[in-house]
Amino acid sequence: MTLESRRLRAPFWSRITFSYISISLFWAVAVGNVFKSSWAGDDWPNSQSPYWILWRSGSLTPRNIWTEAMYWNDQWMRGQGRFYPLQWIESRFAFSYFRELWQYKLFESATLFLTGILFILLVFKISRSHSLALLTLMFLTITMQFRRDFDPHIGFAFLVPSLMIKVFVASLFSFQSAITKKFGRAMLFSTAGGIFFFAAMSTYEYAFLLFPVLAISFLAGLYESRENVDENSKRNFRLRQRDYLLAVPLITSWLGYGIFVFGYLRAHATSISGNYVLGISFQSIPTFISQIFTPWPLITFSKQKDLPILSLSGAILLSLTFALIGTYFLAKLFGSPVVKDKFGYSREITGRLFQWVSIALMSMDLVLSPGFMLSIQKAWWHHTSPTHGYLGVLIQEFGAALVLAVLTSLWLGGSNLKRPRQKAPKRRTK
Amino acid sequence: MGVRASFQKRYVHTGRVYIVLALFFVTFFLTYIHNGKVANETRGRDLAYNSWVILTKDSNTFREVKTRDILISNSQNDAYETNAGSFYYNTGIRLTYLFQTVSIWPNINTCKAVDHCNLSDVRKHVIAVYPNLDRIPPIATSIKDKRPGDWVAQNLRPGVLSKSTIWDFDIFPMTASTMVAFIAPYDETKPTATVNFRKLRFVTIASGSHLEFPPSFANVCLVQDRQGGSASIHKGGLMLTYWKVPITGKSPDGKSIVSPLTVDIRDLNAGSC
Repeated sequence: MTLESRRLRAPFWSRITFSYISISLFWAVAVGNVFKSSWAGDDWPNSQSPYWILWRSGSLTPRNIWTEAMYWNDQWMRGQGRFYPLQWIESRFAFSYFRELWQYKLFESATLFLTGILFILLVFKISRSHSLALLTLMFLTITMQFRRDFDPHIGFAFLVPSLMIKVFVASLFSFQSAITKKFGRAMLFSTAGGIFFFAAMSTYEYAFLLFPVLAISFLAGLYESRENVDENSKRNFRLRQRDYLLAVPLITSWLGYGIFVFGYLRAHATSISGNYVLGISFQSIPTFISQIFTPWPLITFSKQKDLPILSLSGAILLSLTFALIGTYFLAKLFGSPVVKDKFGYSREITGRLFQWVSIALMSMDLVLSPGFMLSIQKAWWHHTSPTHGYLGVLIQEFGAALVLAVLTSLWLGGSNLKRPRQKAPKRRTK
Repeated sequence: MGVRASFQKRYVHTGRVYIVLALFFVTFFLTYIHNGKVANETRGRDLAYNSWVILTKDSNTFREVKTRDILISNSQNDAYETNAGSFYYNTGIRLTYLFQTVSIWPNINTCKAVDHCNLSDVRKHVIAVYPNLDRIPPIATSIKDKRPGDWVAQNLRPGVLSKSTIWDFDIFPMTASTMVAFIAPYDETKPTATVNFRKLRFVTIASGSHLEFPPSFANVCLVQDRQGGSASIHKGGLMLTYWKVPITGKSPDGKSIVSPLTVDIRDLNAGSC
C-alpha cells in the first residue's frame, strides 16, 4: 500500500473537521487571556448595578433589573438622542446574575469566542472556501489585541462582541433568505435578518455602518442561487421582483433605525454632550487615516511594557519549530492534489470572482467604518493615533483578519497555481 | 520516489506555507504575551477591591451602624465599589446613602481649619443634597407615598433623615500592600464638622502575615483592639487588624498625650508610629 493510497483512504471531511477544531482551539487559547483580567473600563461602575438595584428597590428581581435598564435607556434617549436599549438590558442582567468575577469573565470570553466562530461561518457561506475560513480564524488570533486605553475585549460589558454576533447572525439569515427557493420561507429568513440587524443597532450604533455586510451577504446569496441554475443566469445577474421583496425587511430595519435615531431622537435631545457632537472638517482626514492602522498585528506591541517572557530570539526559534511541524502536518493532511482542490486552494478565484469581491468589500467595510465613525466626532479630532482608537477596533480586527486571509490565500493558491516541473520521459536509445 | 520529493510534489507551495506559519507563530506568541500583560494590568485595584469586600463582609467594623444611617467619605466613588449599594449587599445595612465629602461641603478643599473656616451643619447639608438622588421630578407627597419600593422616595418623607446617625468613613491605601479604614460618628454639637474621636474604629488590611507598621491617626498612636476583634487572615492572604484610640497614649514622635474627645474631620490623617 503506497503513501498516496493510504492518505486518500482517510475521509476528506474528517480532515476538515480536525482542521476547524485545531484552529478553534488556537482561537480559544487566544480568547482565554480574557480570564486574566479584572473589571475594566465601564465594567467597574456597571458591575455595581445589581447592588444599586438592591439598595434602591429592596430586591434584585427580573422586573427591577428591567426597570433599571429602561430608566438608563430613557435617560440616554432623551438626553443624548441615543437608542441602545439592548445593551442596557444585556449588561444589567449579566452583571446581576454573574456577580462573581470568574462567572462574568467566562460569559465574556464565551461571547468573544462565539463571535469568531459565527464570523468564519459567514465567510465560508459566502466564499465556499474552507481555506479562507480557516485562515481567517487563524489570523484573528493575531489581529485580536487587547488595548491599554478603551478595550472592548475585556471591558465595556461585551458590547462590541454582542453587536457583532447579531450582525453576523443577521447576515447569515439574509444569505439564507437569498438562496432559499420557497418564497415564504425566504421571507421568514429575511425578516429574521432584519430583526437581528435592528437588534444589533439597538446594541450599539456602530452597527449602522455595517449595513454593507448585511447587503453583501444578501447579494452573495442571490448570486449563489443563480450559479446553481445555469451559466446564463450567472452572466446576466439581475435582481428579480422577489429579490426586491426579500430585501424589504433588511432595508426597513436599517432605514427605520436611522430615521428614528438620527432624524427624531437627536433632533429632540435635551443635552448632547461633546463626545456625541458630529461634524466633518479637514481634521476628519488624519483621524480616519490613523484608524486604518489600528487593527493590524503587533501594532500595540510595546517593547517597554510587553517584554516577552521568552527572549525574542527564543520566540523566533520556537516559532520556526512550530512552523516546520505545522507545514509538514498540513501537507500530510492536504497533500493530495484531489484533496487540495476540495480544500479550496486551486481554481477557486477564477470560478468564484463575485464571491471573492464580496469578501473583499466586506472586509473593507469592517476595517474602515469604525474609523469613519470617529472621524465625524469632533471630540476625537487630534486624539487618535495608529495605537489609540475606540471600541470599534474590535470590528476592525475582524476585517483585518479577513484581509490577511484573502491575501495569504491568494499567495498560497489562487488562480496562478504553479505546477511542479514534470520530468520529460526518457527517450529510449537504439 | 523519496519522501522529500513526494512531499514537494504533493504540496507545491510548501515554502510559502512555511513562511506564513513561521511569521504567524512569532506574531501569535508576541500577541498572546501582550494580551496577557494588558489583562493583568487591570488587576491593579485588586488590593482595594478585596479590602473593601473583607471590610464590609467579614469584619465587624460597622457593628454600630444602623439602617438609614448616613456615611460621608472622601473615597466614595460610584465608579468603583465604595458605594451604598455594594455596602448594603455586603453588610446587610441599608444606608440612606454614602456621600462624597465634597458633595456635602463643595468648598472643603479651600476651607482650612487654620483659617477658622467652619464646615458647618452636616445634617442640614445632607438634607439639602439628598433630593438630587430622586429619579422623578418634584411631585406631590401623596404620589410619592404610592411608590413604597423606592428607597430614596421613602427617605425624603418629612422627618426621616433627622433620625439617622451620620458617620465619617474612609478607606484608602497607606502603602502598596496596606489599606486602612476608619469610621467615627459626627459630633453635631460642635460648630464645625468634627467626629467623636474616642468612638473611632480603625482597621488595617495588609498583605502578608505581619504588619508593616503600627498606625497613628490624628497624631495619636493607636492600640490594637483585641476586644473589638482578633487579627485574622482572609481571602487573598489579607490580614485584618482592629485598632482603637487609647485614652492616654503616645504621639508619633513619642510624647505622652491624652487623646482628644473630638477631632475636626480635616485633621483625620493617618500615619505610622
